[in-house]
Amino acid sequence: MGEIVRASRGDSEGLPAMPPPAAAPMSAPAPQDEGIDPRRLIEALYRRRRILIVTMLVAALAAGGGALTLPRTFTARTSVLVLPDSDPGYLGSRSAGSGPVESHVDLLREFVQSRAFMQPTLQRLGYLDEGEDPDRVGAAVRGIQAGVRARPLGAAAFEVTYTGRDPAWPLRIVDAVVSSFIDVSTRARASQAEQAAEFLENQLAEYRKRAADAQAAVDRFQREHATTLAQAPESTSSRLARVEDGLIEARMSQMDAEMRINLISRQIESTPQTVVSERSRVPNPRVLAFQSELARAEAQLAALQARYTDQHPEVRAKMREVEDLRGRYNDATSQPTTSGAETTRVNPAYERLKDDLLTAQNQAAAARARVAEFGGLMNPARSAATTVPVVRQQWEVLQMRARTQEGLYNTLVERLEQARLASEMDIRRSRSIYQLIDAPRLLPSADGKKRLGILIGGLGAGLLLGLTLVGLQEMTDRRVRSAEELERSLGLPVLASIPLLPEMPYEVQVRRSRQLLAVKIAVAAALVALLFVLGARTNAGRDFIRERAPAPAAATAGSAATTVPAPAAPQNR
Amino acid sequence: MNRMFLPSVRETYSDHQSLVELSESRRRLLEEFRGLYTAVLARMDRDRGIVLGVSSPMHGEGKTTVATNIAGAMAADLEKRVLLVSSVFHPADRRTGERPGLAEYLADPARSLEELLVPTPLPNLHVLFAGAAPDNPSRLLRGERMRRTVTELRERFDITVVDLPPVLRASDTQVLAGMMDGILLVVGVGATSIWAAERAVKMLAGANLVGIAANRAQSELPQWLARWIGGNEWVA
Repeated sequence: MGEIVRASRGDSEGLPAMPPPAAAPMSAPAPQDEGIDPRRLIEALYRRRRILIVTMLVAALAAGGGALTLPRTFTARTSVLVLPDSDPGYLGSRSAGSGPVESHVDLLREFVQSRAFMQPTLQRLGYLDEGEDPDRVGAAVRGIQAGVRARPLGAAAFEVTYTGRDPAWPLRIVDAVVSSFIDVSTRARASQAEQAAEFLENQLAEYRKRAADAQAAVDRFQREHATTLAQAPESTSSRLARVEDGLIEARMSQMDAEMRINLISRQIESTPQTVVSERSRVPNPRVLAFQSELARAEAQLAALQARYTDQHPEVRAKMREVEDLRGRYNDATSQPTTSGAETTRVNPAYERLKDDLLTAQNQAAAARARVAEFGGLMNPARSAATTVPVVRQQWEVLQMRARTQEGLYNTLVERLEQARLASEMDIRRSRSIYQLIDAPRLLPSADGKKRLGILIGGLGAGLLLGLTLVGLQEMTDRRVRSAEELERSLGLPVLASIPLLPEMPYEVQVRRSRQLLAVKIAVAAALVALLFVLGARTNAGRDFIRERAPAPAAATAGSAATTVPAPAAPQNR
Repeated sequence: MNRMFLPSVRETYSDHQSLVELSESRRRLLEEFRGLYTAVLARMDRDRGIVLGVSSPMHGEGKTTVATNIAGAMAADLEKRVLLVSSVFHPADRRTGERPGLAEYLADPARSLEELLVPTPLPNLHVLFAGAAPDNPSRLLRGERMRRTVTELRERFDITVVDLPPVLRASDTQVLAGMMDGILLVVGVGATSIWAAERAVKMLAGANLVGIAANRAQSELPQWLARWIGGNEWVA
């Protein structure tokens, strides 16, 4: 309303000489406001305040009624100190590592939810006696699981509480749960350490057997391959080389003898067995000598040519010697022979050639025998040369395996000793991980707070419902709410915003205002009284004093009325 | 006319209460009406012979209150002859007619306007009542006699304020609005829908709609809350 045309006000005497009004509002509507105007929001809430009040009252009455029907509950609590650096992770807590105390708390929660843990707890509570109704036991398990709560207390302790309707049970249940938890966790730690040692012992026997097996395999292999292992790989290879050389040499001798046999056979074929002459002709002794030398040199040349090429120096020397002998033989044959009586007699050259042939055949037979001998030695030598290294390698592998198994066995023996020492220390330490700080005791009832919370929740729900209704009404209400809205919607200037005229005298307004104030004070007093009634409980003042007063004073105040001595609660486990 | 809450008029009618004695809210209310007629007159093309019609979309939006108050304020503040033609009858309103007025003048050409004008304690303010509603008021209001009457009022008075029927309730208002020099539309905040206000503006498209007076436009919040939030001139 502050933006209404106010500049047009002028002097009250006569028409003012003012400039014509701006035409902008007449032509185009003002732009729409964006966002929520807090003032309009407050106005809308105030305008619809009756809806808000009614919905909140209805919701509060409903919540109050529900809160009054809540049964009375009793809570017992105890605190447990946790040894620092005691990680319960190996006991199976899924949240191990979230925090030292949190891990223990999570472990306790998991224990409470497990059937195995409930056995000792129920036994302590006397539920597992003979003839016990299974349904009753099941109901007790469900009740304990639903009512037991655990939460960390600082960095080194946690508390366990149980809330139930029967005042006789919370103390017993808290004591049984905490005692069972400490027993079970201690047993679990000891069992864990024993299992570790047992596992190592089982492993030790296994490794001992493996080492023995490996050594037995070495011995057996050594027995089976004693002869092979006795041979050195170097002697077998040199023997194989010697056999190969002998075989080659024998084959060369055989070839040499066979070539000489062929050559002599050809010479025998070309040499007549007998010599016929009218006169006895005496052969030239020089020719005969040259002929014999030439035949021997040609045989040697053939043998060399069989072994070497023609470029070999020995072959070439032998070839020159043969040429020289052949030339001297030709010279000797051109000279005249001694005349004599013509007779027929055995050719001596033929006889000599036959002798040579026999000699060569003997040499060839000897060479064949040697080839056969070396051929027979070849396969065993070759087999020995390949088998011995393989056997030796297998033997070395077996020996290495045996040494490895023996080393593992020795390491395991050392570990077992260490594990035994560690498990003994762990078992000794686990007995002092948990220590009860205080015995289980009954807490002051929190029913009042719970009821107050329900009442406040009901008020909040009523407020939300009322706000929703107000929003719906404001969205559907199309009535003009302000001069600005008129200007926006109609595109016309609002020349004045005239307030509602007072309908009643000032005295009446003051009287009504005072009456309204009195009513509000009465409602507030009634609300305070209601809250007091909802939050009230018996012995509240006594509990308040006992919790805050020093110990001697608490003793004189008769605190034994609510603090029940712990029934054989484990103090130091 | 309910003069109980007309500070400027009552102040002038009887000297029992001076302007100084007015409460703060009423003094500011008077200033609001002064600002309203000042803005209206500034939008007229002349300063004499002005016929201003005051109407609203529906009944009960404060149109008669606004018309009466700006007429009284103008008569008190300005040295001009002012006439208030009060509550022009329409078919749905049979309450008027206690005193002779416009209806009798329109129906009987022999009657003189002088005898129908009612003087007030303000020497320059006169009132012309609506008179007894005829059987067919549209015939009178749309006739040539009505047009001549408006011309006559324009000549005899410097400013004539005519309290017209609601626009959406009487079609005669559109005809009468065409005879006026300007129309002031009164809209009751918190009572009238935007739809009705828009429709009224469309129906007065042929007239010179000078502006809108937002009636009952103060915040609905209590004074302490409005003062705490700020922005409400009526609690400052």
